[in-house]
Amino acid sequence: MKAFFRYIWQHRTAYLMVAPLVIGVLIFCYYPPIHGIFLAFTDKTAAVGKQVTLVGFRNFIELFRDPIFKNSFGTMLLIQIPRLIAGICVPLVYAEFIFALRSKQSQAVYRMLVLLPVVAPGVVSILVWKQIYQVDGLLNGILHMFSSEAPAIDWLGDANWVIFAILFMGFPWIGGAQVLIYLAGIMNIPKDLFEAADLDGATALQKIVIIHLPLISGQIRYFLIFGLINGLQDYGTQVVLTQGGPGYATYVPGYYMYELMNVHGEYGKASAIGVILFLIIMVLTAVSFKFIRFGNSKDEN
Amino acid sequence: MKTNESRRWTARRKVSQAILHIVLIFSLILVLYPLLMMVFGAFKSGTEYNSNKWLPALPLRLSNLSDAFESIRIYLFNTLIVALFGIVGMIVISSMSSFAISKLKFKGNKVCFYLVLALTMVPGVLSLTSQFLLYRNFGMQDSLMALIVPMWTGGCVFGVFLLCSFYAGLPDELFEAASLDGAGDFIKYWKIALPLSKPILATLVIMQISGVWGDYIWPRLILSQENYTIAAGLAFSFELVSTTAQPIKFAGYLISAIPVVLLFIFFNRFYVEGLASSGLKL
Repeated sequence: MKAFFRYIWQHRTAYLMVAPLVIGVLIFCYYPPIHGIFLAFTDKTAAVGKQVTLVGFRNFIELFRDPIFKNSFGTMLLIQIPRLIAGICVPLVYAEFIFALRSKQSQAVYRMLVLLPVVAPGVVSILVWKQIYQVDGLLNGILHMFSSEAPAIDWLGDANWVIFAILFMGFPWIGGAQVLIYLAGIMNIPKDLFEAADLDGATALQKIVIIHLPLISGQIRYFLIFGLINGLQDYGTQVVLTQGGPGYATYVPGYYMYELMNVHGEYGKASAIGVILFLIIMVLTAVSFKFIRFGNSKDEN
Repeated sequence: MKTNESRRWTARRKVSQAILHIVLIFSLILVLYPLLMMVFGAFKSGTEYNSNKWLPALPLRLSNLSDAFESIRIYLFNTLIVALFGIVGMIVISSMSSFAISKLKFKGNKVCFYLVLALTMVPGVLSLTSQFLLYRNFGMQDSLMALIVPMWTGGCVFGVFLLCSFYAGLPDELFEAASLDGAGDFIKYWKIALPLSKPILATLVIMQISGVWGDYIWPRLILSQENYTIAAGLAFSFELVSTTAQPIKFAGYLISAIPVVLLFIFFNRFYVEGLASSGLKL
């Protein structure tokens, strides 16, 4: 014991230097998720002075009987699957286009420009898109230009269109950061690979499929896994653009959690949604890691 | 015959390059147009906007900017306070601990590193509710500390990740000379390691600023209106005032975007590095 304290004292500078981080992280980053799992099994609400009791799986059972919660999963898939696909493919195509340019200067200019929409705060672009979707907004104006009989659609107020509106936001979905990460990957490919392909008379498309895709599979895997993890938790658009509406048309599990917590003060139930999403994320991450390793080893054969 | 062939070849290449440019520029215009529309709209009068919503128009109504600034000044101020205190703390805490973890030999340094790294596996949805309750119990509800403390803790994770590998790569001889001169561990960190890591710190600062600037869910949950930072202030307060004309709202969006856009233009290199290094995690 004495030797232990002597060791600590001898290395006190080092321990003092890591202490703020370790203590802060333990309290503010490790305690909340652990306590969150505990809360999911209690009936904690915003009511003051109420005794908090353990209720077992009641929150989970209630959630799985709750039509709002069940439907929110379908809505999430409708929003996140197209987003994931577009988020992986469009930047790749854009990066390939930039890479195909002969002039290095124009490549640099496009690389710079493509980041501009990312730089502006996300809230600003959501708010501008909200104006575009108004009944007298830009989107209806453009449709009207093509056909004067086009009906004015209330994009955000019509349950049939609101998912489309959320998806269409940011069209054509060139994520600047993703483009840059892809481009960096493509530019790292050794030049002699292309020379060999040129000698074999490969076309541009063949070169992309045979040489580029396998060598940037790391980036694709990164976007896929992080797209899944972030997509499952995402409800930022709903908070600003639709508040889950019209009705419950844009409720996703994350937004329901936010509502239960922020509006209804149902902390136990909100935590239960958090736990469910966490489990799904764990399973999906594990599966996608496994699946993608398998895909890679096949490529090597 | 041969020259003819190669001439046709270059002509074809020129055409395909031109098509590439057209496609690239057109899709960029589509992506950038909402932002342009905001800039156009920010300088219109209310009546001008009602008749012409989407195209630029003269005269420029500069008073929109000052009107909007009046309304969002408080949010900008809050954002600056949070960014300043949050980032200074984040830089000191993450660089100091990273130096200790990677250069000072003590029992438990690996544990500290993995303790921090493992946090990237914990999704935000799992902790949101109890995080809210925790900050409330600490009396930070409705205080800007509720935004600053997360930067000092969870906000350090990525910094520790980058800085540990940077410090570990520094040669030990660099510090041995200082030891001979009698410098303690803290002096070695402060005088040698910290200045060397300036480029990484700049990248971290830029990433944190754009994080603070864009965050709205957490401020909305934990703060009341007058303490909102800029993104929450725009979305949940400024935007909802029905008497404010739309052009003035656009002017507000514009003002709030200008600082981060300037940051991007002047510190482009660090910005790009931040994006690239966040993609290197896998």
